[in-house]
Amino acid sequence: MTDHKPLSTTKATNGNDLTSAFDALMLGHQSGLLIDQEPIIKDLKQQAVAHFVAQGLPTIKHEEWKYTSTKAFTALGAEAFVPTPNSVVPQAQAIADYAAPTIVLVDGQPILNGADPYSKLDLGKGIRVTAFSQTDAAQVELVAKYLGTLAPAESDPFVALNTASFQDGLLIEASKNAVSDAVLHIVHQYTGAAKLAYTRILLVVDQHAELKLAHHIVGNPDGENAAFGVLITEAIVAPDAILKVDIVEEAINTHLVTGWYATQGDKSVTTHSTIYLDGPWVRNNLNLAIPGQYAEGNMYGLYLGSDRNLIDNHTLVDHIAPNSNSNELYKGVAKDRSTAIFNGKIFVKQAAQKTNAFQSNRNLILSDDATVNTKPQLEIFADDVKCSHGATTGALDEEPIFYLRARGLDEDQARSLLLQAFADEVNDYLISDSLRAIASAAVERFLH
Amino acid sequence: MLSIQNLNASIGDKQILKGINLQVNAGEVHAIMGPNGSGKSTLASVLAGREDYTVTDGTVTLGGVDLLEMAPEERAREGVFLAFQYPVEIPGVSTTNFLKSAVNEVRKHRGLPALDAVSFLKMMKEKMKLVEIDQALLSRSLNEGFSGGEKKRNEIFQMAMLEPKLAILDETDSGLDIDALRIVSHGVNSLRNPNNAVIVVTHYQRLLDYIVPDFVHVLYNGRIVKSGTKELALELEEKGYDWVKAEADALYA
Repeated sequence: MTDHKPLSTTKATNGNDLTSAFDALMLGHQSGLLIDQEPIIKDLKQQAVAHFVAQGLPTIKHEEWKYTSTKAFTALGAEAFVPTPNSVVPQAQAIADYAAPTIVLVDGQPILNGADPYSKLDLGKGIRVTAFSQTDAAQVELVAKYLGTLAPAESDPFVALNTASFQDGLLIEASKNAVSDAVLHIVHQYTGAAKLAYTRILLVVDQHAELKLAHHIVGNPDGENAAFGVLITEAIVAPDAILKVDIVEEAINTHLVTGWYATQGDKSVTTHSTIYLDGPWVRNNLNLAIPGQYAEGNMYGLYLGSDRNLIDNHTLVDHIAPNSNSNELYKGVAKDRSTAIFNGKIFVKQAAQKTNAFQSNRNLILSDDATVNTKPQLEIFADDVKCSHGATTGALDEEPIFYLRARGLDEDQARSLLLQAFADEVNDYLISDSLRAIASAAVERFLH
Repeated sequence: MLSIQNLNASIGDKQILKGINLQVNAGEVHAIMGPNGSGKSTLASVLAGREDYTVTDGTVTLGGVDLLEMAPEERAREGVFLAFQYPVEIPGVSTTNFLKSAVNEVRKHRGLPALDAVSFLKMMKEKMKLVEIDQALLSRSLNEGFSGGEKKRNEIFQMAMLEPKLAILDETDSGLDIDALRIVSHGVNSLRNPNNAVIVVTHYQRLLDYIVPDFVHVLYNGRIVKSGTKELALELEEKGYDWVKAEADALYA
């Protein structure tokens, strides 16, 4: 499925410098984090360096990066890939009021005032957020057990980079039977101060627990420096557990690679709703591994492409055991000279009989210069399954526009209403009311 | 009220309307009948402003105002209402969703203040009774999964809300069982008044038992080839269209 071959051209320009830079860093690594002293994490990081050096950054010759050039990253030069310890913690900028418990990450780093600042958040019983740098011995063990088990450093250079270079991060635990109404909001700001900013999050959702997260990626709206962010999240979802994740991207001035990796136990349910509203360049990887039976994985996406922005959504659901379901709906609108890419992989392993897997990708193109590339990719090795996929790309239908005009709405109102309806089908899945309002307002602005 | 003179219209290279003349006065109901492919639905579409058709000659005025120069929404605001033969499905947009904007656009055009949410709801409740439609249907995606009867009742409900000067019912009877036909006709009849007019486009006489026309016109091959009173519809029902076709073919051969 993935081409693991190192790419010699990238390697030649970056590789040697990087090897020495990382070697130096790793040998004298003294970040002071408890987890870094954990031999497993140390090994993981060292291996990740090797994986990155072996792979280099992908080019468009790489099948998985066919339409998405990483030039902006390679142009940074080798020194950008050397992690710099955060000596100065930048101040969080003013952000929206989410009317919910909120954590702000600046350049991927938690802002920690005192010990265990997140204990003050009203998250509900059994739900706990801890910065990697403040984990206790039991949590270190947990991190060592799960970190890097889902995000593949060996086959994804950005995962390798993140794993090799992340400093602090978040561990979010929902203990057995923990259920809360609270939606934890995580705001991601990138200042451009760190050439490459790494965000690392580990979610551990125990049996019968429910965890609700809403990520708002705001990028660097006021900054002059372009920022580059690599955000990797791994989620261990135990049997009968529920994980709901909103991701709303407005990564202004920011090149962004995100990776959302989850593994699901029996009867677990995950829902990821990924809404792209703005930002010059984003690659989202969403990977669900479903080794559990009677589990359900839901993947919803919406992207509003404008200007010369590029939005690349790669999703993968891997049905490993029998009787599980996956539902996927990604919808996009592309105007101006924007480019949108959708690649949806559904793997059904031989043992995964009675799998139901549905995928739909629907695109509206509103200008001649906008591009949409869509590619469903189904690999099914079981014979008793229901799988379907469909992709459409076209303009807004004229018939509904005429109907609404015949009722007295002008063309602009009619188009706006239809676009809102098109987008709402995905926005309605958002669990965060404030993020839904933000997305809805962006749709309304989109045609004007 | 409505005056159509020498209306010629085509789609692509194909001429469909070949010189329609029709005068509809306030308070009147006119039925346009005719065999399939005679141009009935084209006439309805051209009046509503569907852009697939090109008007190649003639004039259409409503209350002295030139309709042909207007965009579809301007015609709607001016008082033209088309009840669609095939009401379109619009996923994610409910009747209540768009109708408030529609009603207020029409009111703005007439120099009336916009309705607030409460007055709009009150008006809806009143008009819903007229066509025995319920609130739940109006909150669902437009026409998605609606039965044939529900679609047409919804069209007449919108007509009631928009209070047009001229309503054009394009084969509103198609796909209706007898109960739905009664409800729809009752709705249309209750909306009739001395200041508005209705054009009923239909293939069958059946609907005209319920919405009784003042005049019946037979459209054939893009022309009105015969006009009469409601008795003409009964005669067509009994004898079919062949005799009218034969007369017309002899005349325009």
